[in-house]
Amino acid sequence: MSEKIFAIEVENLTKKFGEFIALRNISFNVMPNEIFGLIGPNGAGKTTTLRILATLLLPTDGIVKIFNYDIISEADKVRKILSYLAEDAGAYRNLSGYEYLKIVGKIYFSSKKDLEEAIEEAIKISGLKNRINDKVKNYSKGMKRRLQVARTFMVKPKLAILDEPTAGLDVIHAQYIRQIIKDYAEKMGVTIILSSHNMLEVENLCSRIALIHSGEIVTIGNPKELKEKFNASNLEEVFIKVAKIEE
Amino acid sequence: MKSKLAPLIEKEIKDLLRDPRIYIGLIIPIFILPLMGSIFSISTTQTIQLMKEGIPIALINYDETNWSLDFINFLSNSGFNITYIDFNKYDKIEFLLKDIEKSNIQALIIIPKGYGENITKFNKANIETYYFIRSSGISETSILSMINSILEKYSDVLSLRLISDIASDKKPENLKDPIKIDSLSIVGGRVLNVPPETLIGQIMMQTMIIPLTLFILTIVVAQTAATATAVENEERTLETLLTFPVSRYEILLAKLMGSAVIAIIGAVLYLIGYYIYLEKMLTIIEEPIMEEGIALLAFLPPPSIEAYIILGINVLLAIFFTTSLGVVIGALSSDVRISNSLLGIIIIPIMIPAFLIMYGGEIGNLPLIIQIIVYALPTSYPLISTKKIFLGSIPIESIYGIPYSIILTLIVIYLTGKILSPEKLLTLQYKVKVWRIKRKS
Repeated sequence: MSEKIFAIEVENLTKKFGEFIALRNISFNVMPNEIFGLIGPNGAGKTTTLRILATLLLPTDGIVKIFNYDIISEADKVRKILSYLAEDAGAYRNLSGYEYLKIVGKIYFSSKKDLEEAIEEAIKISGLKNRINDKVKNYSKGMKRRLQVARTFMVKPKLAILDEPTAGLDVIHAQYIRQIIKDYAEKMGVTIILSSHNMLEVENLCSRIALIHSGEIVTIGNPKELKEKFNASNLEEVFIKVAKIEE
Repeated sequence: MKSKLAPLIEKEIKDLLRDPRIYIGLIIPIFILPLMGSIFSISTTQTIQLMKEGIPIALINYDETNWSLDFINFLSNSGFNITYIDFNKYDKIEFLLKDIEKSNIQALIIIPKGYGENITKFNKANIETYYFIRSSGISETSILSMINSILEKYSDVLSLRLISDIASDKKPENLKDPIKIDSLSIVGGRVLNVPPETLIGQIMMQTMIIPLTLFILTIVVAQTAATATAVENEERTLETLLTFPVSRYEILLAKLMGSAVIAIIGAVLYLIGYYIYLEKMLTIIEEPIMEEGIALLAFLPPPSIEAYIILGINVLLAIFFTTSLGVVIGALSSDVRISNSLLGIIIIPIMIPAFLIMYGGEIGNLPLIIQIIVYALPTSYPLISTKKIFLGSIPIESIYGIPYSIILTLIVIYLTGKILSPEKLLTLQYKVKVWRIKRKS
């Protein structure tokens, strides 16, 4: 019988910044093709977790694997299959949206055909149409975010790590991005892990979620199960109840 | 596998070259140097033109002897355009001076009563001269000094004539100047048949403009590299870039290559500016009337092609070094504001030794510790070269400085590569922030 491969495997992960403990011994797994949500208040450790998964930070302790690749010893292989969208990620102000996508595409694709297809797909994802040729400095916040989402998915990652993908966006832009995330997970089979403050967003998008608080995962499950378990009408209530128990 | 470096370099070059701030630094050398050369050339040409037309002067003659008429005759033959003033029209000299000031007359010469009699009696004969200084331009000062030198020349002529009257059997030149002083200047190993004061003005010109221009170019390119890197932190593009399947050194190398393109453009524009400046200066000396004036370039051949190459490499390495520092500073700064303030703290001390080279005389005469600092910085070598090459020599330090500058820059690049990970950058950026807060409080 072949061993089951997780898209993300986190075991007893601890991260310290000097004396400050950002993550305390957290463990969770994400299945391939799953949309997994990390929710929690500011400073809970969501971004630190995602940065470790994206090979940006090193764990202080514990094991982290992406599709069975170790994020420390096999970081190069991990970077080839993941795509990371940082919170407030910007693009180069003096490049056009098209130039930016083309440069990123050139890093990932060696064949001209693949590159052209990827750019075409990215332009479609971004929904920027003719504005794709404008310089990034002339884009609104929503347009910049759409460009970044397009950049994240154009490289055809096996795993997309999205840190607050809709933070600070108006309803229309936020809804647009949520739809793209859903489409990509369903149609292209991309595994997605995302963080959010927005409980409603997570409830609608994610098949499973982890509630994180003060560097610890307090519960994991699918939104329906969690609501039943904590006798709550929505995830916000679940979170408040869990946080109180913890205190 | 296809190199990932090319798209990264493309990104750097496009992003940098489209930044309008970069143009200031690049344009200054190619604009300022020829402009300075042109200003000098135009003002000198104006002086020459005025001399050809006749320098306008005013004259009052209270003496009316043959001696004063002889003096006026000399002035006329020396190319002055003389306006004779009837002083009876004025109650006070102040009124006359005010009137003259409104005209284009450069000087007023008054020959007092008794001038001729004093000469006959071998007493000091007085001539009053009022110079009208209307500006501090090169043209104006040259004209005034020309008037003064012609008056002194007449004094010499008169002196020789009087000596000849007294001692007709002696050579008057020998009695007037019993000692002959031959002033020669040795520049860059060449013996020039000109007194040093003739050269000083032009050497000063070179030492003022060249370092200032290089200073601006270096600062702007370093600032651009620092800002470009700090913007990567501020806009969170570096964070994204570091998750791409490219190595840290490829990212850093691309950043430096991008800045290097700017540095090469800057160095080429600087050399073009310097070349045009020299060309402009050379056109002045073709005027025969200026043979006693701007002599240096007439006596020295223009710098050799080898000298230009050495200077070009020195400039390029200095810019490359400060660019590497700019990248380090930018990487350590979480935003552009911090990067600018750090750059100010680091770049200014680096440039001070460069100014010591230009204005502080020979490096060998500086205190040992200063000498060590001067030679330790790649920014010093273009100035050492500039100072010497137009005097006809290539300084050996500038040649030794090339491998040294390359090694030092590589060390800076290596160390930058070491810190180019979010783990280290976040810690270092946090430390820089704490240090700045402590410094302010």
